[in-house]
Formats: sequence, C-alpha cells, structure tokens
Amino acid sequence: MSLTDKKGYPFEVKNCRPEDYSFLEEMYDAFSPKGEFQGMPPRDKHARTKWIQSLIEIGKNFLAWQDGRVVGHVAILPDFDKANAEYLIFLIQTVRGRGIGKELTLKAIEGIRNLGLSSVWLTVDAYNFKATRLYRKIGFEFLEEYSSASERMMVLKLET
Amino acid sequence: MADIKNMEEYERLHRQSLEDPDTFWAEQAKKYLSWDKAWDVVLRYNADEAKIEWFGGGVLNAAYNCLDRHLEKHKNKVAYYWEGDAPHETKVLTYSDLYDKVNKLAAVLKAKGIRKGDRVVIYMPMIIELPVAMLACARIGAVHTVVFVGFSAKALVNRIWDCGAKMVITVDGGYRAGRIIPLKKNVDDALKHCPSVESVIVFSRIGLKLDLDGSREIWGHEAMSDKSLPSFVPPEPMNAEDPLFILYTSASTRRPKGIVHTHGGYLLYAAMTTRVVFDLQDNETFWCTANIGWISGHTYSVYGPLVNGLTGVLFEGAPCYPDYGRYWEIVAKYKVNKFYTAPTVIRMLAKEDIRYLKEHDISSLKLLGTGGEPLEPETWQWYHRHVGREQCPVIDTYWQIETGGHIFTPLPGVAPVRPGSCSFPFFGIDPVILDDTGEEAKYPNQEGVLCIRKPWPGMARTIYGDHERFTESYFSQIPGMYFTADGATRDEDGYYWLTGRIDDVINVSGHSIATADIESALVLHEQVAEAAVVGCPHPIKGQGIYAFITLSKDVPRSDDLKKELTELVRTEIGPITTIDIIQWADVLPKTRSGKIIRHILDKIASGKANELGDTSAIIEPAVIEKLIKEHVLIEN
Repeated sequence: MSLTDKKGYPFEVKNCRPEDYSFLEEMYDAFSPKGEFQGMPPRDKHARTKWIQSLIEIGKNFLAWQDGRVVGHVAILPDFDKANAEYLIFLIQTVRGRGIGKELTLKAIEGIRNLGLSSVWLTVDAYNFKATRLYRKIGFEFLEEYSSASERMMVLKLET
Repeated sequence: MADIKNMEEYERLHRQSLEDPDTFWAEQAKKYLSWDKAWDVVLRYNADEAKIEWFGGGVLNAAYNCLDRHLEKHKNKVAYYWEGDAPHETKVLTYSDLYDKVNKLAAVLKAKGIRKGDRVVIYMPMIIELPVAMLACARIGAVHTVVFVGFSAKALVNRIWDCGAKMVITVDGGYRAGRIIPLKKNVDDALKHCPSVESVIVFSRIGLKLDLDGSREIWGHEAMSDKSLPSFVPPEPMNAEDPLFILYTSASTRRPKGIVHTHGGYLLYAAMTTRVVFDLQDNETFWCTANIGWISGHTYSVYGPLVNGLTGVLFEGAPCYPDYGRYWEIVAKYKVNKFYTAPTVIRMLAKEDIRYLKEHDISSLKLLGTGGEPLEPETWQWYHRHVGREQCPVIDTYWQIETGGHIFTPLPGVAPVRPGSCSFPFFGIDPVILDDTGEEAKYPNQEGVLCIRKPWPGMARTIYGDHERFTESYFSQIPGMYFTADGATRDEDGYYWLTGRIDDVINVSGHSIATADIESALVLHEQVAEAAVVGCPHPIKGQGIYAFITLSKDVPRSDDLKKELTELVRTEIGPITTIDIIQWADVLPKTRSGKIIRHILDKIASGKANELGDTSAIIEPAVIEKLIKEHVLIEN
C-alpha cells in the first residue's frame, strides 16, 4: 500500500521478507545515534547483527520503505503464554515526525490482533518525550506499577 | 554586605533577567568585563538549530580581563597562594608575577607556531604552570583543552585526536599524597598515536631527568627563560563567541564529548556567579578545592576569581595527606574566608576524628560552598556545625559542565537555606520541571526532569566538531529548551531539589561518568560477553560503580579476572572510573527485544530489590531472583 508522508513524499509499509534483511541491516548501520535509546541499536557491529537476526527469528517485523531504502522498522515479539507482545520501533532521524512511525505502528497493531494477542507493551527511556508522545497518541498508557527514574513501561490493551 | 540584599531584590532582578535579558546582561557585561569593542547584539538565539550567540560583534580577551586590567591598581595583590603536596612547599604569586609568566609562556607558544584557533592540550597537575598555560593560550587566542591527570594515556589520545591538538603542555610528573605520579610516561604512550601534535612543552615538577625528543619536545622553564623572546605579548582580540576552551566529558572507546565555552558569555557568567554566589569582597581569600582538570576548577579556581581580581588558593595534594587535617591547615594558613568543595570531600572528612578539625584555627571562614552533587542533610549538618561553627551560610550549588557556572544556588543572606536543596535559579535561568509526558509539572513536589527555557551567557555553545550531537544531546527532547537530564522537584515555597540523573550517567565523587563508557571498556576484554554498569550508593563517593558482567561461554569466574577487568577500565579511561563491585551474571535481565532493563539492575545494585514490583510480564522471574541472591554489598 503506497502512503504519503507529511512532507508529501511517498512511502510504503510492508512485511519484512528474508530478502529485505540486508536493507534492514543497512538502516541500522547508518543509524545515528547508536546505543542512546536503552542501549539500542547496539553500537558494536557484531552485537548489532546478532540483535537484528534475533528480532527476525522470534518476532514479526514490518518495514517502512522510502526511495528504495528502509527508513523505519517495527518488531513485535509475541509471548503466547501471556497473550501479549513487546513492541519495538526505530525510525531514521531524517524521517521522524512525518507520520511514518504512526503507519508502521498501525500495521504492527493489526499484526498483533491477527495473532490473537490481547495487549502490547514497550519500555522507553523516561526522557524520550518524542517517542512517548507518539505512543500516547496511538493509545499506549503508562503502567504505574513499573516505572523508574530512567525507564517507563507503556501498555496498549487491544479489544478482543 | 551581600551583593543581593534580600528576597525582594533577588526576585526583582531574576524577573528582569528573564523578561528583559538584553538590558540585564548588557549591564552585567559592562560591570564585570572590559571590552575592546562593544557588542552589536546582546543575544541571538535559534532554538531549532541550538545556535546561541551572546554579545555578537563584541571583542575582548579573557586573559586581558584576568590579568592586564588589574595591574594598574593591584599588581602586588596576591593572585594565588600555592600549596604543594608536601606542607613545607609553598609559593605566593601576585597578579604581576602571574602576568609575567603568562606573557612569557604566550611568547613561547607563538614561537612554536601556535596561532589563534589552534588547540592546545594541557595535561598537568595542580601547579602554578597549569593556570599559566591556560591563560597563555587564552592570551594568543588558542583554545585550551585541559585533560584531568587522573585520565589514562588512552583517554588522552582520544581527546588529542578529537580536537586535533597541535601542542601538548605537560610535566615530568606530579606528587599526590606523597607518591610520585609519572605523568610524562602517559604522554609518551599517548603521543605514539598522535601525529597532529607538533610540539610538546614539558615543565619540570619532580626533577626527573628525561631524554626529551628533540624534534618536538622542549623544557618549559628553559623556553620561558629565553631572553630573546618578548616579555609582553599583546592579547589577541577575540570575538565574544570565539571558543576559550574545550573540556571533555569522560569517554574512552566512544568519541568523547568536547564541550565548548566562549571568551565572552562564559567569562561573564564565571565572573558574576563567583562574585555573587560566594558574596566575595575584594579583600577576601577564596578557595575552590576542585582540580582544574574539571569544570569547577576552570570556573571557580581560574576564570571566575581572576576576572574579579580576587585572591585564590591552589592546592596540589590530597585532603588526607599528611593527615586528614590538611584542608583545615590550609584554611588556617592562608586565612581562607570563602571555601568551596565537593560533598565527597566533606563525607570523607566527616568520617574522620574531629580532632583533625579542632587542631586548626579556621575562624577566618565566613561562607561554605558545595557543589557537584546534592549534599545529604546529615553531611550538611556536619559541615554547617563543625566547619561553619553554625555561623557560616552553606551554599549548595547545582550546575553542570555544560552550564558553565552555577544555575541553582542559595544566595547568602537572601533566604533561609534548606539542607539538601539547591534553593533557587540564578539570574537568567528560567527552569521548568517536565513530567513523563513532557508537560510542565503542576503540583508542588512533583518529580520530573529539569529543563531550562531560555539561554544564558554561560551555557555551552556546541560539542567540538559535532554540532548535531550537541542539538541531539541537549535540545532535541523538548524543542527550544536545554535538557539537563537531571530529575528535580520544586516544593511549595519554590525551593528546588535535585533527585539524580535520569539517563545512564552516574555521579561518582561529583564527577559525571557515562556508564556506557565503562561498558564499552569492559567488553574490550575477550572473555567478557556483555556488561551493564549502574550506580550504587557509596558512603564517600555518593555513587559507586557497580558492574554486572556476563562472561563468554566456559570462562571460569575468578577474583583475578575481576582485578584484571577493574584494571582494564582504569587503563582505558582512568583511575576515577575504578569499579567498586563486579557481580557475575549468567544472563542480564532483558526484554525479548534485547533491551537491558536497567532499573532492575539499579535496584539490585542499590540493595532495593524489594522495591522492584512485578516485572514478570517482561522477564522470567528466575533471572532476577538469581541476580538478587548474588548481590554484592559495598564495604564501608
């Protein structure tokens, strides 16, 4: 499905396929700053590769494409015993604030519903206001039982 | 008599500094500094790009302001009482002496090809030549970068590389608590990797006979006694926004952050905070105990006191040598009136026998300052009662390397202080506490992150060579505001209370250390698979360094390996990052996506595992139970 960002440029959101892997790795290699958001994405190349591979292995992944390259990535990591999933999103700096993160998230939530899960959660640096604002807009709420000076947990309950 | 007399006056001036900053700061700039040419515009500010310009078009020189202009009336006034590591070694330096030395060294720098804008790294202990070197650089418009001597050769390489230094000024070695520290050896190790350095000036401090590399190394004292060099070097006219110095925050394997401060705005802020916060009078002696390798030393041992033409103390040694009365001995010897130190020092001295204090006559003291981290009430009480004889106001200041000078502080005689609170914002500081969602805190005592809405003259202008990182680090979280990354609350009466960092920076003995730097150093060891470092409560340092380490498969755990890893971090960064506790971990607590859940580690390291709450939704309870069981206590 072709979409248009807030600056009028087209982009697409698609499932991550095995042949997309190198594009995803390229996005994280170029990602700046590394390691600033709860240590993610890992700074070390080897650790980064292992991390991406494990996300692909255990999660369901969606990519945002623009001009032939990956500009955003969402992973959902389900735990069927608990009927929930962890959510993770990264967007390259230059495309933030253009509505691409929102579309990726909507696609991810649809994926979570399709898996029959009832909630999705994430952790975020307490001071990452830009991210928390986006999450709140989508419907995530702070989980009071789990919070610290540096990290917050947010949950989105899905209607079943 | 205090500069600011009462709360009404403080409030009126503070309001003016926010509502009409141009008038307010123009007045201060005229009052505190001498300008070759007045500025065109007081403030230009582009919040989106974090471009901050104070006194644009104005021309001045920091060294001129610190020295030349005092000579007419005060050339015989003492600029520094210098006290060596050994108590019998002392020097008295007048403004005229300091001026002569600075000019001479400036002439040497010029002869060695150092020009306006060149970067000079200074790696020296607390000897007179350290401020001399800084001011000589400032005089010719070179940008100094002082590297604290507690940093390793590798950290030195990192900084030399980052700023592309053309020159290093150092010493053969230093003394600390009776021990010899061979500093030139660190420089030698570093310079093997630093082709940008064209010349090295070595001052003799411990009398080592060194074979200097004649192609680029010279002895400082020999060079300064060269009669063919001029004894006067005209101060270079500098734009107010030209960089005065770069000071790095700790980092080893990662690129260090070179915080840039300016000739105009920084100098003004240093001058004004020194004068007003410590209520300094011209006939008083001021001692800031901080090492000049840190921002506190730059601002309150060098630039602030000298711009004001005040008398200061420089001390080479340690508070415990030859015994725990050394600081009080120095206070008595030089009749120090205003004293500024760090909570970690006060904690250390408070633990010792009170006789060390009682042996000395410290009745000259009129004001006690502290800064670097909040002062907990019991230490505050000790400081106030025993050092201050319940007569000296205790001034608990809050600031950062990036703020240039104090941004929160009580002002002497203005309002009663509250132990543990840094009281009120300084002039020009427009604070706001933001909650989780980035909204302004609405209720008293509501915790949030402290941000500053408006620019002030002393704030950093950029990260050297990486303005994007500057914007990202300090201005991206909330558009248009400076982000301190410190948590804070404000009580019903407007007093501010700092609650600690909300990011991965810990405060060890008042020094900010990014835990990621220590982690990067640890994973350099081939037997380390993963490391997570957090702070833990420490009775002296405030926070200690607690490392959770997962070893590679089949590597046996041993105390020898712990020692090796501790040493590795000391070599990579420096002795200030000595790990207090290493706890082996089978696995680190991570979410499925691989994020390390730091607050779990924080609580375990602090012995507060009972406050963890329910984390079973995100992690297997067994992982955490094992970590809690194996928690290691810090020894008192």
